[in-house]
Amino acid sequence: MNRHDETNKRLAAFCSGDLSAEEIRELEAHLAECGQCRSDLADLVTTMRLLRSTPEEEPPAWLQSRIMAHIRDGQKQKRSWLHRFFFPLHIKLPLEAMALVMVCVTGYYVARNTETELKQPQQETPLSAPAPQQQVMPQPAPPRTETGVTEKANAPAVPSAKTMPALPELPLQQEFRYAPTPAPPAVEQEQQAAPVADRLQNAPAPAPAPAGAGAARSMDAAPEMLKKAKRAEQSNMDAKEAAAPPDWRSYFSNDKVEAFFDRRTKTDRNADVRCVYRKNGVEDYAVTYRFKAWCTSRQMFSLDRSGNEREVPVPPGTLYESTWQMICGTP
Amino acid sequence: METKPQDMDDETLAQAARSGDMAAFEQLVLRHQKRMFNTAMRMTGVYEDACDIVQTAFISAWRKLGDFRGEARFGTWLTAIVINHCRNRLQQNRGREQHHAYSLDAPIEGAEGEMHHDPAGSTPTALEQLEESELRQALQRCIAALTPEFREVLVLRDMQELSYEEVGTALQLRDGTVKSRLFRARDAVRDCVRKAVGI
Repeated sequence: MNRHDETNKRLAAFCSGDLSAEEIRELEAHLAECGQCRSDLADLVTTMRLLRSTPEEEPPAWLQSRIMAHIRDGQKQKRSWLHRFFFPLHIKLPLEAMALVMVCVTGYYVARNTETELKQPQQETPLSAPAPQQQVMPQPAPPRTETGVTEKANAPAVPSAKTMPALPELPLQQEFRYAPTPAPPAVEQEQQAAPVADRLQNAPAPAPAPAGAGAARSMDAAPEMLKKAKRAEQSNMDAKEAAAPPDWRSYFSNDKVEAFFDRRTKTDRNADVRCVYRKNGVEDYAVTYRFKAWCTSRQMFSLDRSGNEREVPVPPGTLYESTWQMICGTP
Repeated sequence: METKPQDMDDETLAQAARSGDMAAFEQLVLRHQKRMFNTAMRMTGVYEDACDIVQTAFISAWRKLGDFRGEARFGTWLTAIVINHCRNRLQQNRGREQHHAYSLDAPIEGAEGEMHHDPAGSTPTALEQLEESELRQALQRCIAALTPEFREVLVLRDMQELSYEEVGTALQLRDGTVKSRLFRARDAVRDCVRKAVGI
C-alpha cells in the first residue's frame, strides 16, 4: 500500500478530528502534493455536511398518544401472576378437576357426618310424637353370657343362656319404640325412672364407666397422635360425666326387661343402654352396653363393673329405632 | 414542592416510571420520540416502518424498565432498543424483497443503469456544484444501500451525533470497531454519492 492509499484511508478520520497531531501533519503534507486526495477530502467534507444537516422529520402527532394507549391497555390486561400461571389449559383443567373432586369428597364427608347428627335426634322423636305402627322383625337377643360382662345386681354369677329367663314374645303389632305403651308425660316418665335409677345407684353392680379406661385400652394399636386426640376427647367426656351423673331414661319396658338410655352419653356420640332384667317383678340383674359412633360403625361394647369395655357383636339387623329391644333381648 | 415531570431528568423519570408512574413515562416518550423516530426513519427509510418501530420500542422499554440500571443514559438505552427493532424489521423486509446492500466493489445501479466503481474525478468541488436537493436524494439512496452494521454507526454518529462511547454502548461494540466501521461507511457514502450523481 503506497503513501497515497494510506493517507486516503485516513481522510474520514481526519474529518472528525480523530487523528493524532503527527498523523495530521503527515496528512496535510500529502494533501499539499496530491490533488486526488484533496478532491476526495472535499467530497467527504461535503458528504458529512449533508449527513449532519439532514433535516429531522417530525413524528406523527398521534404517535405519543398511541404509545401511551398501548401501554395503558397493557396495564389493564395485565393479569395476576397466578392467573397467568394457571391460564394454560393443560394446567388449569387438571387443577379444576382436582378441586372438583376435593369439593365432592368434602361434601360427602360433611353430609355423612351431618346425617349422623340428624339421625340421633330422630331417635328421641317417638317420645313426643307417636310413630306409625311399625312391624317388628323379631331378632334374637344377643348372647349375653358370651358377651361376658353381664352382672347381677346382687352379684350372683352371670346367668347362662340356659338360666336366663325366657322373654315373652312381643306381639307383632306392638309398637317397638316405646310407643305401644303410649309415651308418658315427661314428669311421669321421670317419676317412673327415678326409682329404677335409685335402685341402680344403690346396687353395687353397674357403675357408669369411669375415666374411660376401656376406651383408652381399645386405642392401643392406634398411632400416638390419634391416641392423644382420643384421650383428650375421652377425658373431656369423662369430665362431663363427673360433673353430672348419668341421666338414664327408660325407653322401653315390660314385665321382664326395662331398657334405659343415657341421653347425655349419646350426645357425645356414644350411647349407653342399660338393660335391667326382672324376675317376678323384682330386678334380677342388669347389663350395660355401650355403642360407639352410633350410626356408622355400629361398635358395641359391654361394660363391666369397673366400666371396662369389651366389644361384643352387634345383633344383626339392629336398627336405630329398635336398638333398645334388640340389645336387651326381644321380649 | 412537588417536581413536575417536565423538570425531571431522564433517569429520575425512568425511576418513577419503573414504579408504575405513567405520567413520567409519557414525559420520556415526549422527549425522545422525535430522536427515536428519526433514527428509525434513517435506518429503514420507510415512514410507516419507523412509526411502528418507535411504538414497539417504547412499549418494550416500558416492559423492560426494570432492566434499566442507569449505567448508560436513558436515551442511549432507548436507542439500543430502537436499533434492535430496526434490525428485526430490516431482516423481515429482506425476507420479503431482495435487498442489495452496497458494496464498495460491486456495481451500483443509478438512474441511467448500472455504473461501475471508478476512481474519483479530477474536479475536487464537483459535489459542491450540484443542487443540494439532488445531493440529498442521492445521499438517502446511498445510506439505504449500506449494510445495516455500517448504516447503524453512520446514523448514530454522523446524523444523530451520539458520542463514540454512546454508539458503542447502544450497539455493544468496542470503540475501535465503531471508528473503523464509521470511517469505512463515510468513504462508502461519499463514493456512492459521487457515482449516483454521475461524477
